[in-house]
Amino acid sequence: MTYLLLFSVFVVATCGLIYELITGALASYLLGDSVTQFSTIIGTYLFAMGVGSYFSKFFYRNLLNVFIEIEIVIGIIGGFSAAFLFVAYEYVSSFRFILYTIIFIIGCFVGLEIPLLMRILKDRFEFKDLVSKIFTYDYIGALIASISFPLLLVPYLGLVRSALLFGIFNVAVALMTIVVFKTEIKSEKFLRVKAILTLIIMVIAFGYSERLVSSLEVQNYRERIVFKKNTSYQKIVLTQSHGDMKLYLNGNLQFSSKDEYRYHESLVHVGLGQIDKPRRVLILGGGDGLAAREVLKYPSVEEIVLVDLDDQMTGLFKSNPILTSLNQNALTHKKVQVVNQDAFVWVKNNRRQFDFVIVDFPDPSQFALGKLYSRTFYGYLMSTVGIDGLIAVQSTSPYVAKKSFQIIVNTLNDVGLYTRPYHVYVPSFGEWGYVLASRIPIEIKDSTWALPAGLQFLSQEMIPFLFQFSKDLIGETKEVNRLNNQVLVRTFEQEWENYGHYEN
Amino acid sequence: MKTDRREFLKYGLLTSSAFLGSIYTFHQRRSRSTEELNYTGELIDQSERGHQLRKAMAMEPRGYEEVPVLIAGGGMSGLLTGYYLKTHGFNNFRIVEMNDRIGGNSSYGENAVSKYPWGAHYIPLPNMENVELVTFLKDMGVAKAGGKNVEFSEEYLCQDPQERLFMRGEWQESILPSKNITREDQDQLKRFHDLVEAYKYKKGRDGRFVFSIPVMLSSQDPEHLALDRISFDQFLKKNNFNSDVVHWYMNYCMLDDYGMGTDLVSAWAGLHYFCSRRPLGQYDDHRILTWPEGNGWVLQRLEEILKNHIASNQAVIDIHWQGPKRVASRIFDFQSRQMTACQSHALIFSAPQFLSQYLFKQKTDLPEVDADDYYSWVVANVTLKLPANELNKLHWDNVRFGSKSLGYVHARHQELRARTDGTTVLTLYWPLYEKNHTATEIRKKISGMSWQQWAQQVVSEFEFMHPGISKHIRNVDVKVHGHAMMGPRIGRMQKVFTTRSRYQNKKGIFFSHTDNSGMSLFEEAHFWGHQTAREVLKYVGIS
Repeated sequence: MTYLLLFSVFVVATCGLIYELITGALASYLLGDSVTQFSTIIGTYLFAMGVGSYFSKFFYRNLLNVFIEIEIVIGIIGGFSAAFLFVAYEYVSSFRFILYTIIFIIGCFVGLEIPLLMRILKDRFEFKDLVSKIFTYDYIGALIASISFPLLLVPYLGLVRSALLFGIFNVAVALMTIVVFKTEIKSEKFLRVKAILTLIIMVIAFGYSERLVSSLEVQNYRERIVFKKNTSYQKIVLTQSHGDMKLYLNGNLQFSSKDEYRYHESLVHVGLGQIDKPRRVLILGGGDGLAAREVLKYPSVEEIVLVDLDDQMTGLFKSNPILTSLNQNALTHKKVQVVNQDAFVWVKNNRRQFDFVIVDFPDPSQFALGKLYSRTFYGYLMSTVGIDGLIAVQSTSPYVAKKSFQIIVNTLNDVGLYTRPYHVYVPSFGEWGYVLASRIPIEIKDSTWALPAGLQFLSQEMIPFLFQFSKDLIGETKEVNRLNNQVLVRTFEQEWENYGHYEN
Repeated sequence: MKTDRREFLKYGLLTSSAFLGSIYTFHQRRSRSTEELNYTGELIDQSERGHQLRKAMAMEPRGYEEVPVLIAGGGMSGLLTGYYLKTHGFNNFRIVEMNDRIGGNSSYGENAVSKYPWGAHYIPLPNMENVELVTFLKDMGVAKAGGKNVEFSEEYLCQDPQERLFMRGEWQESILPSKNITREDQDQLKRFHDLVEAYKYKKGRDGRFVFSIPVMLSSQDPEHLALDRISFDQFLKKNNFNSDVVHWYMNYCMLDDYGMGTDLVSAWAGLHYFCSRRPLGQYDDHRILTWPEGNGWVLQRLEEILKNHIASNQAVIDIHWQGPKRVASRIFDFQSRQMTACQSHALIFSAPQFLSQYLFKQKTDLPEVDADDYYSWVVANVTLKLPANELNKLHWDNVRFGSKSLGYVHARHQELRARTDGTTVLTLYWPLYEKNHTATEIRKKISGMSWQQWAQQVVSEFEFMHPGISKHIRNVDVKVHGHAMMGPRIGRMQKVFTTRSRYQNKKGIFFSHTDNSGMSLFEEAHFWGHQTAREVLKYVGIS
């Protein structure tokens, strides 16, 4: 029987360390900066264990009962800790407070265990044996935990299920103790029912945890999620922190409200500002309406056709008050016509010509998106502008993905378009590139631009400098992106690999 | 301390079995729920018409008509023969097709999601010397310019990523295994590659390439034709290709083009698969043309051009050669159940040639072909909604190493539409070939198999590659091709090169079918269509 208690030391030690590792991993996963997360979690946990050990002296009677109760409580709190924290992360703004509170509570209870067990066992061993045995099992448990956590638990079960599994072990220890020492504990029946009920609940939770985990679908967003929607085509996530709003599509940042003006002013005005009295503008992609907002600054514009695949995306930016204040209700403006269609198919069937065309697609991170940067697509795109019209293409980062950028330029040239690449610095994205394309050569003169008033970033004088490329922004390649080679997606994948932004 | 060990064990066992038990029932429940069919579908079996025809054989004709040139069979060969008659200004012909739709092995289907193939689904880029085919592709709007500068429309070239292989638990790019194989496998694959490269440009003493497409352009140098007398297996053994990986790959390729394994295919035909295609201009020799409906795309264009010449739901039987320019036959209409007598100057037999012994009155001078040259295929079109992670990784052709099936093709791969909600059609190809079983034995074995039985096999094949995918499946349509295609067994090529002239004994009877070549390839259908049309035109006095 005594050895059963020693075995429970082993189990309890394993469980204790597992909870610590789970919360540490979870915190660094959600909050980033694993060094900070792990040290603060470990520190808090150890300190809480100390607090628990201190309070152990206030328990005098029915130590076995106390031990059993503690096991059940740890089983519940520890077992559900990971699931609870994941949920809390998505819905609660003071996540850190909850995180450390939970760590502290678990730590306190785990800290109670060993002193209590030592006192329970004190009459059954000599002191030197007792100390040696207890700590031996304690440390072996720690070893097992620390090895199995990265090798078995995380890869095969994941954090939520691992926590539940070890919660079950804690309660199982409680139940076994009840059964084995039934003569020595008070109100044994009541405790037994309680332990069995808890065990059943946890086993059921474990059984359903797969569904729970998939519904949580833990994201890698550092900010608080204020909106999340899976549409037929993409996952839209809107986050907010410190007054900064960010839009992610499939986990890739689309804009940050702090500096999106840099991106969109550059996308729109560098081209549109050179066109004399533009009347008709086509926007491909750009369902957030931010490019349209910039275009609407030109009073001569009579009509904007915006083609974006996802009606849920444009719907969101038409109706959500925070977002419509950001795009200044551009999508519901009477000059703007929103078409929810695949841009490739739309452009292929289109027979109209526009003065200015904005191509604002997601980066070519998948083969499906790579089609929108292909020679075939640009061939059709060419016929959307008149002979003196201009096309502006968002073209990923010429710093991170210089070859990709050059491939986009090459592909536009290959269908017979003349190009002038330019770039700006957008803090959220880094160095960002665009390509201006036209059916006739594009001249850059100082005085060509007629910019609307009230821009925050661009000015007449600086625009010519955007066309200057430093040496480290120039990629050497002659490749052309075709549907049958998708060389852009392959190059893009390689170039962004080290940056880890794209994980579709 | 009164508790005894037995009691401890009892409770210990109880708690742990409660734990394990609940996990077990949980899994049980899940696996049972996936067994309920969540998809619809149908079995398309074409053997019915054959039985009906056999019954109709005894019927006496009621009407009579004259069709100067009658083409029996509306597959790709018959249609292309008609196409070349028409493009040369000859219009007095009719193409008779037994089924309700023309197309044969190039037929296709369509549902609300996509068009999809029921058979042949791609055309490799032709060799430069195959000028007629390049011209044909230009006329179809697939190619531009000519000679070395020929340019194929990007919309019809197979888009990247083209093919991938599921091997030892993970996908790798290209069907030719390169990852997770031993050094020895790699060496043998390299050695085979070198052998192929050498053969590609090798010429016989007659100055022709040893292996060419169309087959009739290949060298007939006896030294190389000797390869037709041994099996591809024997050739591989003789050249010390004994790795399992190499063997799987070779066997896969043989099944893919010929419907039979390396043990039956002649070594000449086996090497022909690898060595007969050479790069064309800017394109390497792996480039292919494909469409959502496969070669059904070409079919639709031909159908439009030939629409006034096609009579479907009809079969030509009882072909009787009565002398030059006098070919009698009877035509049975499956819908009106009428038999009509028919008199022609020329009859072009464009149906599978094992049928000739049933359909010709005189049994002499017929192609030396029998039903065992044709193995069966099953093609399944699976409509489903793929989750984004699976959809983004799809290639055009997706193959599983070691599988009996040939893998599946993604019908919407060629669509220009950049993003979809994941609803698509996947076409699974399954040659029913078993070593040491004749084609007839296999046909007997599969006769009477229900849709449910086929669909289950199809779905479990998909489950192998994509665990959990079955819950996304909405529809599984299955088509059984009883005599799918002729495969070039040992000795076939010898016959291909030498026996054709014997058919000429009966002036007015022409055989225009890929069976003339011993292999069911689009290029061969085109070659015989073009060739036969010219011969027929000469015969009827047009040119």
